[in-house]
Amino acid sequence: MRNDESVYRAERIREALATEPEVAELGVEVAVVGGRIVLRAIVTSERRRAHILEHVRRLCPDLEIDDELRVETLREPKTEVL
Amino acid sequence: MIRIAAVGDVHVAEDSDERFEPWIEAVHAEADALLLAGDLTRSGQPAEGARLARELARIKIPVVAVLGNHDYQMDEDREITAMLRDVGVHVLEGSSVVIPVGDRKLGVAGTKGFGGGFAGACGSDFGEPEMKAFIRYSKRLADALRLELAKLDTDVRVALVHYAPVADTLEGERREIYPFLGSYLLAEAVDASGADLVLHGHAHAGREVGVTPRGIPVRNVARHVIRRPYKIYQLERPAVVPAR
Repeated sequence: MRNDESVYRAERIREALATEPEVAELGVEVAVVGGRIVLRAIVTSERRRAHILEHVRRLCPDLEIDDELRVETLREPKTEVL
Repeated sequence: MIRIAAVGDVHVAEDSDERFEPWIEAVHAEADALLLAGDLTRSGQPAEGARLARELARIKIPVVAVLGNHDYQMDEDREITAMLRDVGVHVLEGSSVVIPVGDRKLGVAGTKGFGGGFAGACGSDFGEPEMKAFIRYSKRLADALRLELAKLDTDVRVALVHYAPVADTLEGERREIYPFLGSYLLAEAVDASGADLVLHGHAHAGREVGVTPRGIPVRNVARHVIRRPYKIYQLERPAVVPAR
């Protein structure tokens, strides 16, 4: 059965990650499932990943985090002829 | 030939890694200008703008930028704009710049742009004051882009925006948020005035390649999409010979 309260909680976490100036990550997918938070996004550095995880732990000390945050890897610059 | 380096959504913050420093020599060698498609800072704080300005001050080719929604978050967009202009960055908002490249001229018209959605599924200038203000703001910015592009009499014309002008480059994003990612009004403006290329950012989960209804190439250069420090677009155009 769907737990609607978890939907609201997930959205509050997502909103906090977007609006907290030190985080300001609008692209994090958040789901609260069975007492766990699933976080999914591609972030720019390990430091950013750690910062997001720390922020979510502070917001939700009662929940375990499933960390599906991935750090982007940049390739060499490339040219396209138009 | 004009070579444009472009990237968007660099989201510079006080604690972020160097966005441009490791690539400065390469970009000097490979490009005639660097175009930045908005979301230059993480959360629009002046300290982030100052950090970005310090990095961009070391780039010796012309740098042209528009701001993005992140750069407005703290209502310090004017201060960030001033900091960037102080180090020589051309920050565009309903304005344009002409950059000489050898015997050619590159014209760039820019606006942040705004949302509203795409043909068949977009908001209308109707109803509550807030809804009307939303759509009118988007229309106003698109109109300014149309006028600025029309004014450019250059060999190559580029439209630089933050929000997406077409839905093609949003593929990969959830359709429910398309109206917050861009507006067809931007594409309509570009198609009305003409351009050689449209560059935008904002849609991190989108894809790079798109086209306006009139066939003008659109590229989503959000760093998360191109997964490079920048992408080079080389525009081959014959020199315009003045009529005698």
